[in-house]
Amino acid sequence: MITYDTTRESEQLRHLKVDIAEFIQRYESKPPSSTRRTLFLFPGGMASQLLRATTPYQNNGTAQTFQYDNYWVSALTFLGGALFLGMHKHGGGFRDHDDQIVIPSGVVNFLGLTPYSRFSQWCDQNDLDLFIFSWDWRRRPEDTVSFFFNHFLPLFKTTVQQQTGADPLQKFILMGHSFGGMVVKLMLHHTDPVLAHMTHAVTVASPFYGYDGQIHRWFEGEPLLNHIGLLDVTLPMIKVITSLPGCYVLPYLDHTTFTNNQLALKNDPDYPLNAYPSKDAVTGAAVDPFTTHRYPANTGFDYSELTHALQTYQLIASGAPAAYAGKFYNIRGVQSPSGSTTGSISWGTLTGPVPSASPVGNGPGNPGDDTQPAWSARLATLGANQVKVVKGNVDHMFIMEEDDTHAEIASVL
Amino acid sequence: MRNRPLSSPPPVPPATHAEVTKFLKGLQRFRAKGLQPFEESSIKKFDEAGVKAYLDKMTVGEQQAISRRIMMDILKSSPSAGAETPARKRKPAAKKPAKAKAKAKPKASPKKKSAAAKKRKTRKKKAARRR
Repeated sequence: MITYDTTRESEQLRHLKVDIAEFIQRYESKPPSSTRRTLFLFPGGMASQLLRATTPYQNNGTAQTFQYDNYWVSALTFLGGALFLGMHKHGGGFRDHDDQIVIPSGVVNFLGLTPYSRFSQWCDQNDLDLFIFSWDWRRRPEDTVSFFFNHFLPLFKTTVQQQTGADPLQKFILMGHSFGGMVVKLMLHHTDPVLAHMTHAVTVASPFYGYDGQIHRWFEGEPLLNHIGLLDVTLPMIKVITSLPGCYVLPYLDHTTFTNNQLALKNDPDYPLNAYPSKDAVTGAAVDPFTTHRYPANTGFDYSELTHALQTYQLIASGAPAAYAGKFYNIRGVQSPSGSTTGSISWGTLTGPVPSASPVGNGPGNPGDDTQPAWSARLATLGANQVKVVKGNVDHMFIMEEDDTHAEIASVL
Repeated sequence: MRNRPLSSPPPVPPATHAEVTKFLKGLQRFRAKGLQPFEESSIKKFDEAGVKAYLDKMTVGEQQAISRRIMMDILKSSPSAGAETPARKRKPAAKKPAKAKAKAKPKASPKKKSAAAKKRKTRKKKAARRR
């Protein structure tokens, strides 16, 4: 049966076939070897390019294909396009604004710059067969996991095998940058026999215990997109952000996860978390971002989605399954000089409908990569020898481009 | 595994917040006239030729520095995003390779380059003279 969801999947696969063809071209340009490994990279949240169909999906049971415009990130993004990336609930799932299908395709490439150009070169130079799996960071992460295992991997394996005679999944690596690393962690909880061939799962700058940025966005929108010329579109922007289910797993950790990991987080010899990072500005009492009801009332904030996201988040923050625990590595970034990164927030009183003065304030600077605090970017239950640090002149978005990051990745593979 | 590091240069350092603000203001001059922000057909009618000409006036290095700052800031918490930060020391940006110029004339274009861009241009000229 053809539905909105199956059409979106088939459209995504249609675009992925182009990526697979390019992968095969690169694959065949090198001599065959039993030591070759496929590396699937999951870009960070917002780092996958998003294309939006130019016409709406027709609910008439027919197979449909679409033309697309680049809404994330292109000049159009800053000229009002971002306002059309919202989602809405439909039946048991989510649809895109006005039923115009949005699919991920490639990585963001704004003005000729991408966050993974040098990483791609490095993989090529180090005999790693890279496949960048772009994914829709607006959607629930479990949707990406399901699509990857159930739709993409079978197509990938069959196509590559048919054309090269080699099995690209004989040995493979899962790697995720930032939010992409959370997706990778979620994959380890997926029961699929193909994971037996996974040699390593590596996260780089992934916030296992959340970060402040998402909480700010629910109150403040996105400063770079809140205005179109003189036109203030902060409230519509907040509503778009609030409508995206994927973002609900990103706030600071819930209090239960904190309690369960408190000792390990505190005992981090280099970057400890000494107290719960989300507090009331006046009383100092813990404010659990996953269970509080202090979000704005006029933005469509979805408490049921927050409850759903908590379950997904707790799985991401749980220990790695025993079968993969020894294969799991976390790399975190720490800028020099240290203390550049927000590591806690305080909640004041929301005095009226947003956008008014944000009630969310930042605590003192922490060590981190300027976006993710270092205490959040490793799974606390992981052994110390499986956690690596990249220090120096790094920043979160471009950490995959740094020579020091490449060296740390090489050290674990 | 043994690491074989790259010899290619690292990505261009980011522009400042002020440069990005100026860039976005300039870019948004090309939005559709009489913009109805919630009408998709309206926002898509921006002046594409104007945008292209606007971007063609920048060097590749300038474009990428702007792009890098935007991508960095879009993920961060907002309070710091509006604050001014010094750009990292930057080598003179490489001149953009020959590229097709915009065919159509822009309907509007920013009249002046940023002070930082002017400084960079002067620095480049001086460096060229030294050579």
